[in-house]
Amino acid sequence: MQGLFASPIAQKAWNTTLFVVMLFFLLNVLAVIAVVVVNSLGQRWFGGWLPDGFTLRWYSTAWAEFQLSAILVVTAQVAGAVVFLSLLVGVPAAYVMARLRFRGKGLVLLLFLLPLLVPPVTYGIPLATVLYQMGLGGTIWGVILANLVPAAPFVVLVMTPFVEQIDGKLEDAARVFGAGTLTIFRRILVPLLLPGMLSAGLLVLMRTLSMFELTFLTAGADSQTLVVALYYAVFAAGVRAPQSTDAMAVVYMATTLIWLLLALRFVDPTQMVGRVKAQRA
Amino acid sequence: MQAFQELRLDHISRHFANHAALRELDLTIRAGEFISLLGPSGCGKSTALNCIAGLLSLTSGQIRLDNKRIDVLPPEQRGFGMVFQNYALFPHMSVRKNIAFGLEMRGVGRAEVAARVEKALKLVRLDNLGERLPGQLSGGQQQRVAIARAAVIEPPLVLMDEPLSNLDAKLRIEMRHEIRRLHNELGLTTIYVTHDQDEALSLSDRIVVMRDGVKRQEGTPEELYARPQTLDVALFMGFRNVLEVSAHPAGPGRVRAETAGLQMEGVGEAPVGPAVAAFRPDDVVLTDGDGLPAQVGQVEYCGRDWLADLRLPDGRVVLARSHLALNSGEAVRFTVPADRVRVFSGDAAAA
Amino acid sequence: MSSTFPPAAAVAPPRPKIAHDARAAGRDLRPLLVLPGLAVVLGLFCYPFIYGLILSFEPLEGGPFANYIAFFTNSRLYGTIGTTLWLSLPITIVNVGLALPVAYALRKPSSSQRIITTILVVPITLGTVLAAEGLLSYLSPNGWMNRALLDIGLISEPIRLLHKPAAVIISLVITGFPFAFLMMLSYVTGIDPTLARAAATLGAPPHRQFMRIYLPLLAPGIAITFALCFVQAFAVFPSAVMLGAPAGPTRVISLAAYEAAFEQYDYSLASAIAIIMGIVQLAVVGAVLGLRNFAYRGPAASGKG
Repeated sequence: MQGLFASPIAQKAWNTTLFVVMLFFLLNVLAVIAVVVVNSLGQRWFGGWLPDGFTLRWYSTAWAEFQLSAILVVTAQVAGAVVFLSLLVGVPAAYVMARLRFRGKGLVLLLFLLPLLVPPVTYGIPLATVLYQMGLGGTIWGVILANLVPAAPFVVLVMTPFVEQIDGKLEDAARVFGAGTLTIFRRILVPLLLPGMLSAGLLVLMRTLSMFELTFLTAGADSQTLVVALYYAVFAAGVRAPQSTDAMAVVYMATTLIWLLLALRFVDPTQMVGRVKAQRA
Repeated sequence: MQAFQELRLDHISRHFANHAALRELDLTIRAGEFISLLGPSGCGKSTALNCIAGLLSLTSGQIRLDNKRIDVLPPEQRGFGMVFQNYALFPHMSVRKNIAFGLEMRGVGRAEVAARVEKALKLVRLDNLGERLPGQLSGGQQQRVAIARAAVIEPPLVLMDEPLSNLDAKLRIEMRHEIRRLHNELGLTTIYVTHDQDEALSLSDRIVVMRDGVKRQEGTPEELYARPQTLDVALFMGFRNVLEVSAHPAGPGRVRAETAGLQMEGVGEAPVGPAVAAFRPDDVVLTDGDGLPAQVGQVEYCGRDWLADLRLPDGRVVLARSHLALNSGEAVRFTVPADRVRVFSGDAAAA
Repeated sequence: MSSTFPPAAAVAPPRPKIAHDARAAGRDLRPLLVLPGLAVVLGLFCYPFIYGLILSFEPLEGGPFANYIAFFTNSRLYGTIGTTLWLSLPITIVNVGLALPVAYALRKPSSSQRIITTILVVPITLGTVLAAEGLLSYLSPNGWMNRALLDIGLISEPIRLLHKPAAVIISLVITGFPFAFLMMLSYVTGIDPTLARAAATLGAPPHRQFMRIYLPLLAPGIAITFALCFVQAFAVFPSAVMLGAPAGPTRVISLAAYEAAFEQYDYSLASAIAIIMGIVQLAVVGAVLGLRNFAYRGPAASGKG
């Protein structure tokens, strides 16, 4: 593999070093995830590499103790609403950013980028303050609105290249044949953008599921998503066995990873960090 | 300039996972010549060029520069200049720094670098654009920078990979002229890859026509133009009319070709039996007297002449160029001079 | 009337107005489509920021700057800046410093590239809370890490990493490195590989291809990756609480803001802390981008023959 060094020995040594480092990293990552799964299935685990025995009872315990069914419903509601609203708001905005030129476009672009560049805690605190002032703090709508802040710009960022890829002449042709803007959207743009919207939707879904800080700052007792409930569960230790917390963690993992597996069929991993490769026609 | 006598490709092959791009290609390139590798896409010409440059390794065979074996060297040690199809100018460096790059890699002193870069800029007529960035130049200008960058290091060999294919038609013809001028002025040896028959004909001292990884014919432009040796080479060189015939010998090198009652004479390597006769639309001569009968079909006006479909009695169509106006529906007669008809054995499908 | 050929310089025709096409002459309502999105950002992002900014100057007691004065005189508060910087800056340097060579080594499409990318997407998907949860078991005295080290014989007693900055650092690397890697990979693969080939034919050996071609072209990407990774790490919250010692050594600034808001119900102070947090982040990001401009201009400007 051509790289940095002219001498093949040096190159091989360098490649091997990188390989070893990466392998160590990946093994540790996989191990950290695995230990949660193993623990959730173990009877008791005091010493040794594996628990004494295996059982599924922690899952039923966790289900009852943490009221997982209620939490899952809330999570689904929040995630679903955020995906729907962010697409509703973000796709038209992406259209404007991709197609139209106007004064102040740079400023608008900056406004869409800021919520993605500034970490959630930094704007979450003022946002939570405002939501509480408005009486939305602690309610599910507060959580939804808070999560919308990074989600809508993310949709704009991901969808803009998709819109750019669609030939503008298609819209001209539709207009010549009598279609108005709304019709064009409905009959031409949205169908062509569906794959992109699917990708964007899946990405927003995954990001919302794992979004901790915003939900943590705005949720009340009955509007927590799974990840926030998991956080609280860790601190409720003492009364509850750590295994049931891990069981809950596994449920969380399952809900997120299912979507990841689905998403990887449509989505380039680099899009997860919001960098979309410009596709040249 | 490093003096060298010849570059030899000995039986070089290059295989990829599921197909053989080059199959035992033998070629000798002599110092000072302008040689083109010509062929349709997928014929292996770019692969051959990349192997010579060292950007691809050989599956088998050797490349020798005079008597030194170079196929084991990485590209940075071969010392050839290369011009890429998409120019590959370094976007973050000015025109001057792009051109200077190869010299800097060779450790040439600052003053000399500056002098040689200036000379190169003048040579490609970009004198006052030295400080621009590639993104600020037009396609033709970028092309000239790419050429200057390769030429300034005074390499024994310059490799060009379809350098003109991204330019529009008018610019292509201008740049073609420039490339040959530079080759002559600087006394370079150039290997040029193209799929454009006109380019190859006008630029080269020698042409190598390739297909499916092998050499089909090698010769001067005149040889290839007038005397293609196989049907596929003929097709590539513009012999657009192909008729299935049955061939009988008619004297040394001459063949009588018969088809559906029509007879023509042509030249060929004494094929007998089922064969194909090929000739150019330009070589069709309309006669008043003897000739093959045909009816004029669709006619295209081309400014200097007309391009017409001539429908033979059995329905087959022959394309003809005529300096006289033709009308659709006219009945005409035509011949083709025997030495402009090439007859190849086998059938058209075997090309 | 004399006619001159070529015509004498005529009065220039009046400048035509910018052509109105059918859409513009009618009602082009399309720009309105951006309004809902803008409303979300303006209403839920900009407004709270401004509100918070104003609120931070209206403390519960004292003059307009009381919050900021309190912050910078209370070591438990201003100390958080140092603590958080001390955690986030080295981490970011390590993450980006490791991501660059690995992404460069994987710049050509290959199965290794796909496998590593796919595996690294998992920690990002799962998030910091789950990583922290896993590390609680993994790094515990009985956990697999200590067990492995003991079995290999590298240590004779379990090392205590939990509830210390070290654990937080490990968690930040687990979630931060994949992010840095994916960003760097997208930048590296965005560079035309023909450029390196051209440099090779001009005599540049592999390390010079990297230094003269890839690195200058990657400089903006490296700076952006560093900036984004840093702001993420600086805002660390759940890991610091779950894995660290939130009372002391890992008392990060986001924690201070949270406590002000939800334990002391002093929203004014909390906003002030959030503003300070934003300013520090901005300062570091600005420094990084400024540094890159400085460093980048260097090589490009030198060597003028």
